[in-house]
Amino acid sequence: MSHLFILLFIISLYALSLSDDRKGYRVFLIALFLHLLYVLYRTFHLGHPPITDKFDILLSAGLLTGLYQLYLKRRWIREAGYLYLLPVLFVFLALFQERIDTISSSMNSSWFYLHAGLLVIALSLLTTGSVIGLLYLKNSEHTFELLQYRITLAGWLFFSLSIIAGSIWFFLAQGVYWLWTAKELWLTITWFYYSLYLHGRYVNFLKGERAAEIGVAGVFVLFFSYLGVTPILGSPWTQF
Amino acid sequence: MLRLLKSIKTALVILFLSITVFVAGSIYIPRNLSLFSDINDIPLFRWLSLNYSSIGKTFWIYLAIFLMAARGSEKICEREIYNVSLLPKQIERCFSNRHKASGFRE
Repeated sequence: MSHLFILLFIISLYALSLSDDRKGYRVFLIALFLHLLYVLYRTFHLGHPPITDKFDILLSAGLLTGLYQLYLKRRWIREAGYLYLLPVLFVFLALFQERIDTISSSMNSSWFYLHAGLLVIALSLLTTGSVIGLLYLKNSEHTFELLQYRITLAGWLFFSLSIIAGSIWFFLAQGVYWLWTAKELWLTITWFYYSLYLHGRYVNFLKGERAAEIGVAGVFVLFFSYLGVTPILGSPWTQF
Repeated sequence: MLRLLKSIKTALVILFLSITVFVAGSIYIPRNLSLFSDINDIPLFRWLSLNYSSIGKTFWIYLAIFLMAARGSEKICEREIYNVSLLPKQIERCFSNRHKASGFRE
């Protein structure tokens, strides 16, 4: 129960930071600091990086999106607006996930930690890219569209590396690189989707608003493949 | 043919079709668990030959294999766009000589 209150408090602070840009930024920093403390607490409590279940992965990815904003706000985006909502989204989604403090012996592998760690970075970058795409659609400032493309490209690279590391880990743990399940197929669909967007954008086949919209829509594919496939399509349950 | 394979639009079409085929697969697998229960236990082509009679439910795997092969070929041939050569130099030279001989312009 106390976890729920702490997370709701962090969400409230993040939400309050939307009210006024200058004061809001300070509140945002406080929320981010508390968020960081909570992730550190989870790390010490678990005894390993907090990336072994969906609850911790979402919290860690949310923290990263918050940290990116410190850079983005200083260098690129003066009025962050929607960006403040990103950690809220992640913490809110984490509330609905089961908190699992144990890991199986097969998961206790450096390849697994590499896979999950890269996935956390990819999740945070791809969602940040989508929200910057929203900012572009709202303000029509071309820098945002370029920024969306570059951040999504970085996220896609981490996502690709995560898939490779995950395949190696699974081969070492179970003897196969790939499983024919809806979950794996949707992870591949997500990879294809972002490949489509990045290829199209690279050769200017997709430009301007259309490119931004397709990039923004990617976040739905991403979250469906991560959180929606198991309950909706009936794929086998996974801890992470 | 080479021009078609080199086109980035071909890559986009292949990616779009791959997404469609994989979405179909993600719907077929959970609805036919008894059929797909041993797909991860034996090599894929052996599994496909054993379950040839259920092609109505496994057609998307054949399509996925074809699309992956097409994507691989396209990737090798699109070297000019990314300025990266994946072909052995001899084969590449053979292509470029043939283009010169036939007046092929890119």
